[in-house]
Amino acid sequence: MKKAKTKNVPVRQIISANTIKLFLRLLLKLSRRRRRALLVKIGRVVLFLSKKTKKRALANIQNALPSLTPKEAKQLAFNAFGNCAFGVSEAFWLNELEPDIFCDEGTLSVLQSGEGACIATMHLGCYEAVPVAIAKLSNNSITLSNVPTFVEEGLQFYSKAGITAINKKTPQAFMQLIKGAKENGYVSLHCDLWGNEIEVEFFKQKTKAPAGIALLSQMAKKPILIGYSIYDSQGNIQVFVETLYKHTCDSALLTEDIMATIYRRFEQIIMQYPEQWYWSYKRWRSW
Amino acid sequence: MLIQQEIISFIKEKSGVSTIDLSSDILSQIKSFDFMLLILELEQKFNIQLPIELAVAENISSVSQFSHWVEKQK
Repeated sequence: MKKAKTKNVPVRQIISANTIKLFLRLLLKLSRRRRRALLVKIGRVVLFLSKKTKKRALANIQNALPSLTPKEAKQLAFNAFGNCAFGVSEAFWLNELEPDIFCDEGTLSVLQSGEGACIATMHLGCYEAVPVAIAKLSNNSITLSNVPTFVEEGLQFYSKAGITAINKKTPQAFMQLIKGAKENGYVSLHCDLWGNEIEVEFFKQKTKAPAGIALLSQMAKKPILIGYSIYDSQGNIQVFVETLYKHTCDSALLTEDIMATIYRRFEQIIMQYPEQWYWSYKRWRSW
Repeated sequence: MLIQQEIISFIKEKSGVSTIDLSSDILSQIKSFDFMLLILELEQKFNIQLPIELAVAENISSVSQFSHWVEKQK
């Protein structure tokens, strides 16, 4: 008789999970203001210690914003990384977030119509604040998530905030996303990463972008919105949502055109809040 | 059959593979981005609506299952 296989969890994974759990428990004992101050500092130290990440951030900043002096670029890299460290960690207490939401009347009516929309979002401020804001307005907020396996709570952070999160790693993830969009969900997807799908111009450089949001909108015949979040000087979250396309099912409208419009808008937003965007991705693969 | 041929030639073009195993998962043959392109192309070319949410409910996954399901939508 064969011995039943037991689930083998690597020791490293167990240690990571427990360390994170303990760290989170300690963090949650602090006020949000003190939590922010601590995490921004930790982020800055992490960047200081990570040579590759720092080098990439500086190269990206210098290429995108050539008018900055090396000193200004370095300052921007550290400030942005610190802000992003806090922005990422807020995913662990999404149900506590109370963002101020700003949108025009047309966008508000789209969000409250119950008919769904596709929302292009970005790694700016608090990364997951957009689906949180959408959940507060629409009650049908869906997003795609890539939760590391060592985070035991997994997608619970999202469900507690009223968000349906689809785990990117599950085989049916993509089909579930389409189903969500077609069934009048409000699907938020981060679109500012590199993706080998559509060529776009970003900060006057040619690069590639994921175009799922445009195709999803065309397939489900839903409007495309842009949503982004920033921190104000007090650390409060502000979420802005705007309508980019009311209709994308016109056959003359190309996916490339939609993505170009999204990226032009992303660029403007980043120029407005450069200290809140995550500069350390391999965003321009040729640089 | 025309639809199945269309699907197969699309997968061949995108994957660069000359022989397509009809029982394989369609999403293991092409990227999800290309799958969405395929759906849009089929809708336009054959003037049909593909309620893909129903395909999800019916657990359609292989190339063959998907082709038959599209045929049924005509």
